[in-house]
Amino acid sequence: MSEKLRVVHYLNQFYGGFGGEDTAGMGVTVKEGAVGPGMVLQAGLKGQGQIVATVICGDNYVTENIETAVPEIVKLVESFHPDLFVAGPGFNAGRYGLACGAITAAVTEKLHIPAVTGLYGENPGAELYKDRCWIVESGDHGKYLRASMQKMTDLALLLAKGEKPDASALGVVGSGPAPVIDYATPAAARAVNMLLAKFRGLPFETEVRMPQVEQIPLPVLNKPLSETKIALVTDGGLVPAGNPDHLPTVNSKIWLEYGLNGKDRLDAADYEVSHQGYDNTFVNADPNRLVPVDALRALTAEGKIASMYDGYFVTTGVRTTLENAKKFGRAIAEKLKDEGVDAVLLTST
Amino acid sequence: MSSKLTIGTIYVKNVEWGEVSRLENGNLTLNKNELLDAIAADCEFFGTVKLHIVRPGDSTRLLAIEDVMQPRCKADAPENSYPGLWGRLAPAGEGTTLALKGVVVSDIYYEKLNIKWYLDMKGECAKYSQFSKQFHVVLDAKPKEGVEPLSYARALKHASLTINVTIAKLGLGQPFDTEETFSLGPVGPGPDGKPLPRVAYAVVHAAQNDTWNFLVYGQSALGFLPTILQPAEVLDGAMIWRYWEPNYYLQNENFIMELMRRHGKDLEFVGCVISNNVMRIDDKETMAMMSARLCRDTLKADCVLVNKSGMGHAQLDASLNFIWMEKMGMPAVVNLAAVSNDKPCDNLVVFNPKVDAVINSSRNYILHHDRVETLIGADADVPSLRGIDPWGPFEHTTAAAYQGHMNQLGDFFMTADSDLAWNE
Amino acid sequence: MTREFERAGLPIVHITNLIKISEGIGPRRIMKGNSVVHVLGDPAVPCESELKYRKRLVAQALDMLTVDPEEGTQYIVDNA
Repeated sequence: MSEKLRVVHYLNQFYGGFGGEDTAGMGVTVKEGAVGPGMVLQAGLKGQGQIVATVICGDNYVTENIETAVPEIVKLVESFHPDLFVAGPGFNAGRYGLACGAITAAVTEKLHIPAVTGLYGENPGAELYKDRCWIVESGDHGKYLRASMQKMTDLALLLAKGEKPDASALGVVGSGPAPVIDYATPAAARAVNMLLAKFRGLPFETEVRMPQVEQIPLPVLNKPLSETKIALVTDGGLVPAGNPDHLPTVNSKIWLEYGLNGKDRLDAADYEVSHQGYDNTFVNADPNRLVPVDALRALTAEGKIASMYDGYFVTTGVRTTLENAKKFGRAIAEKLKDEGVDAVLLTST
Repeated sequence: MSSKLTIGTIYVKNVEWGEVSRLENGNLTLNKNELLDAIAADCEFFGTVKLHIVRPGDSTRLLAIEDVMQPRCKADAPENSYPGLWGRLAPAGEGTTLALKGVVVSDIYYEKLNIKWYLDMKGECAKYSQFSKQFHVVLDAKPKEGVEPLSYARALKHASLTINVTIAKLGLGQPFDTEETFSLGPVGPGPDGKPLPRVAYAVVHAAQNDTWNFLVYGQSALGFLPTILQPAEVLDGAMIWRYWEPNYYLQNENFIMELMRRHGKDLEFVGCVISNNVMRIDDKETMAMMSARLCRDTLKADCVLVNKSGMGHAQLDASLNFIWMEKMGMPAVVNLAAVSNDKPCDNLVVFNPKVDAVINSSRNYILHHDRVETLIGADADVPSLRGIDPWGPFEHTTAAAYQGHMNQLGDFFMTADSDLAWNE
Repeated sequence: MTREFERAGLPIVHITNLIKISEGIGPRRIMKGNSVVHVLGDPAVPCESELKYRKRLVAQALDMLTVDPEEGTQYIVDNA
């Protein structure tokens, strides 16, 4: 087709020229043609496309009302009959990233047109939407605008031509949009067709892609169990009576370590639970039910393991943020390695 | 030598209570007292017993509708229907079976079960279930005080099957509206002159406890090892869930029917391995390995379709089956119902990148349910509706709730029972 | 947290009743505990039996440390 592609671009309040945090609550608005970074997008399209409209919205407006704001924006985008949609890039901005991801995924799934955004790989918006739309790795700073916009437009133009690029070859975050499933054909027919294609070595597309769970190499013991030193960790909020270090009952931002002083078991009188997420009665009556000091001491004496780390680590696993959980894990792991601990039992509610 | 099963179908377009039980020109009349008499022995286990006729388009919601079955009987020996469980022991999957379509027998279940379902016969949401297209003869029996859950389940299923066969028999001697023959005879080469690919079907079925179980000729599957069944046996009442999803889905097992219909055309269907969805990871591995061995060395399959009837746990069994099939040299495809990368309420719990060929047979929706005039099973506990007025209106996900929307084996309301239409 | 221990090279067994959640997060060794409210306890039995029960579970968890599940799979032991 020699006709130029109609392109709609999405920007937040800042890149749209309305201001910073002060305008983050602004609702949806439209400007004709390219705005701000849209100029770079326009140039990157190399005459094959024309930005017909730029949709601008405040980050707070989108993220605080995501159920209604996203459909509202998609409807607006649709009214321009675009051939192509681009959002951002949002780099590492959290709320902007969520908006870019959510809107690009919605445009992909509802309007079925090529749609691309650019985000830093670790942006939460990228984490959430990387298997639902095309997210180009943009780097974490605005200085990468030109480079990331180039990658975005290259991908966008490929998609507009009807090509089906391979996500792993392209430097995108995640695997791109989820496969579109043809429910109008009964599943049994689809299944047999897919099997016969696979058997013959013909191309086929799976309807469900396995999510990328982080592949961490499997840790293995490098000595027999009877020679190991084992540590106990819990996120069940067990603390000394009186909670002297004020471990919170929810959303803990701290982890703590308490010595055992060679104790054979935990006495109910000495401990209590600071955790809102479960009925604490049973553990308060016998803390060993959560942190099994009595059992592990007995097993040590029997030679099952060589020794027990003489303390335990605790946090409260209710509404703990993913970030904090990772931080605690890293810090405790480091401490344990310094202390020559070989393996860990983590007890959760 | 291979067995042949012919299923002859008579369409039913109206169901009513009346003086004389009969089926005439698609009009089914039932004498309620005759049906109650027929199930008198099972009623020893019940307190109140009611029978209802529910029509497509009725402003009726059925709560705790835990089984839906097509009335069927063996045409030449109705006393052998559902052999070993209800009828006299005889091989299922051969001879002629009469089926009525347009009417189903449904069970309301008043004890605890893994999932409790509900169904609307009218409204926008009725179009999201394949069962609102049919008339229901509903067995609505509460357990008698002091009766054990298993005794209640046995009696209820037995009574339901009595009603099922009694109704089906009313069609005996009448011409079929349609008929289909299922048989797995020898096949020739494909259109390209090469042998047709030999395809096996390996399906994992949940048998968790006494009342979430499947029975083969009445034998409980708890503790079953992977076994080979004739595909036609599954279609013809040898295998019954008690209780899980509607047995309608076994009577019309969608993968089996597809494979049987394509036998001799673009594939050779070499048979069916049924295994049990067990609860511990090492046991799941063992079952998967044994299933793969049966596929490769007994059925001599070139490739395998893997399916499951179970939920999150069963995804693991299904993917282990997949992995073992491929390890033994047979490319595989697995069906995981209603899991997806992008829709709400659906949960993929398997993360193995080796599972590279997946069918996602259905998806869930959030539906609006109107206020209804009649509520059947109002005293039955439906956990997903606790805190909600079951008379409606309410909004609710179809996931693990709305009966006839989809099932684990691959059926989906959008394409199921395409020979029936919804009441407008 | 479990993934950070694994990232640091420390074998870990996650003992929890809610194994589905743990499965989603990805630690390689998961053991199902008795209940959300007493993951390594059984208040229904007398104290001495309970300690025996707990020792059995803990010993099982320790044994799990010596099992290396295949790539892409989790080793899950369900005591139910």
